[in-house]
Amino acid sequence: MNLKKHKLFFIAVYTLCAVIMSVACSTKQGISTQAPSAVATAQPQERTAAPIPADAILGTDKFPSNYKQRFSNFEENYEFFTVNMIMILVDSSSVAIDYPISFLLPKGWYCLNSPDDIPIYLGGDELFDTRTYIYNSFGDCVGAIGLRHSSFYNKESFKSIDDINNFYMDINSDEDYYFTTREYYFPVSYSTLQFTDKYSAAALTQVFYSEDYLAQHGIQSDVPLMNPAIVYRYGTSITYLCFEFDCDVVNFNELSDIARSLSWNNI
Amino acid sequence: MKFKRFKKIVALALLTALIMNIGIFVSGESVPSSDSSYELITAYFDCINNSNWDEWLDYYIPQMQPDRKLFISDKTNFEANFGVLTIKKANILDIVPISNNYVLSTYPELEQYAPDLNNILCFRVRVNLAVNEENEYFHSGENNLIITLLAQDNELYVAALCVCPENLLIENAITDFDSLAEYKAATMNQLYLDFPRITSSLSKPLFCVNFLMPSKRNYTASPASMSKEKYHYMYGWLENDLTHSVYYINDNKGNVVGAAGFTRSNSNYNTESMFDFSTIEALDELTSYVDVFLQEFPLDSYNNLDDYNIDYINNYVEKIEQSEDYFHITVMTKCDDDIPCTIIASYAPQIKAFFVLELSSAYFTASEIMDITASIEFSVDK
Repeated sequence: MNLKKHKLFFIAVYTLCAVIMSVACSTKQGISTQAPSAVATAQPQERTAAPIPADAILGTDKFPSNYKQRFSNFEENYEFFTVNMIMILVDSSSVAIDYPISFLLPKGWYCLNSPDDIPIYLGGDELFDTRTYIYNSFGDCVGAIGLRHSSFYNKESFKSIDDINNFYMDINSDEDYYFTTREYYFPVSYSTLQFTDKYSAAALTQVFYSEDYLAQHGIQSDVPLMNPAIVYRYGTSITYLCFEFDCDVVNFNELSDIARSLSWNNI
Repeated sequence: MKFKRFKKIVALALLTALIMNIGIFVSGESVPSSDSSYELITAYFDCINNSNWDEWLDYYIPQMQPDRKLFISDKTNFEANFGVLTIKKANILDIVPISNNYVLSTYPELEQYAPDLNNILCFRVRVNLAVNEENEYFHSGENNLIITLLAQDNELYVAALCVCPENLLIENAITDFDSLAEYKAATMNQLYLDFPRITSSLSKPLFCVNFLMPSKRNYTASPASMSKEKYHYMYGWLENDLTHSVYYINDNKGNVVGAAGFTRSNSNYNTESMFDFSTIEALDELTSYVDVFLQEFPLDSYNNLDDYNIDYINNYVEKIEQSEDYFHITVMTKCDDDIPCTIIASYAPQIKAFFVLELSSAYFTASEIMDITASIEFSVDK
């Protein structure tokens, strides 16, 4: 009885992921919108790499020299990306500011700034000022990067976990879709020698979707959904970026590698 | 008007149930009202007060009655004052509805009796007890208990009575049913491990660790030993496992997907510590917990960690947690061997012990690893 229930639950979650991705991740070319998790685990041999869109941001195999101190075996598994995110200051000046960031993603993945359909990652098109979407080699949208300002905090540095939660209050306070920084906040270290401040590093967390939020996006589910995520502040400013990934596309080691690879190019 | 009529139905149902010893009938609703729940709880404790154990038995869901019947049929259990049998008198002070997430994580087997989780109702019962002899569950004076009721086929039964953990009282979590807890209750099960493992009736664990594991694969733990098939996980630890510290983690298909073990810290071997980690506040002052970890983890005793290519120098993420009994620091790193793994190492300074989980990356998602890590708690076997 119990086993049957677990099986049913697994099927439900599996179906949910497929539905989410089909709703959220239509790619520009109209390539398969099947959930990457389903593809990766069930029928990997039946899929081939999708054509890469002309405006895709691609990774390279040229890595910064300091990555050798941060990672092991990174050249086998990852490519190095630089994405220029642009945010327009919402004041009288309306000045556009560039925020070039660098990071690792698994080999064969690419980024798109303006897909035809806006996936629901990172709260759709409302929560972040600017977003870039992440695709795997099959052309499935598997995550997103977003940039925004904190409305609640302007201290130079974090001194406590309360400071962190206040800083991210724009994204951690809605009960239907939120970054769970209050419950999960795992800062990553570049190395034990470089880890000088546990509060300034990029941190791993999770994103929570309530059943109501999923229903609003046409997805019926009896249980909430959690996706892995990364939050990272831009130095001492009020700007920060967030990554959100589909729940099945990166394991913990890959997520922490991506977080540890993050750097702001103009700091 | 409707409410009065409903109360009459409930009263009639209570009376019928008491006479016929068949549990409590409630109206046609799938989720019973608080009134009927309170009356059931009161009647349940009345049975204890009157030592009417046959009737007490009938309040339990039918599937659980055979076990409890065996329990009350054995006179030696009464003589030994086992469990609830030690209670002479119970005076209920108050009954407060609470979320069912704690009980669902502690007794995941309840879910098989109630496919709709809304049919599982939990209440904190503050009760003044007089006992024959104190045992691990009940003592004389004020006790905080959790009673779990379950609606089954339009009848309401008792499913479990347990001690209310202190942290539920402290954090006031008992009045909130937060959505994250709901998510965990729906997707995770609690796993309890004693360290060292119990090897005889005379041995006693030093401490217990409990943590959440994804329920979809129904993970269990089994004692690990060198005589078994050689698994990758913590093999080096097993070679030195004089303290019976290692368990394998198994999924519901019999696959070994990881291991869990414990080791004592360097401070335990009289090495003077550079850091003050006597209190959670002192620890919180530290810039990085990685320093503490590196100083305290007995790397020399476990040189095989190098053989496993555990990236203990470069790849840490960290978390400090306050649990019911002991605060602890948790760091996570990876092992890039033939089978890539995530290592979760949790250090409890007060008992100078590390709890380490090594889990295959092929079986656990990033979110699951975070759920597991955030749920680790140390406790003593009281």
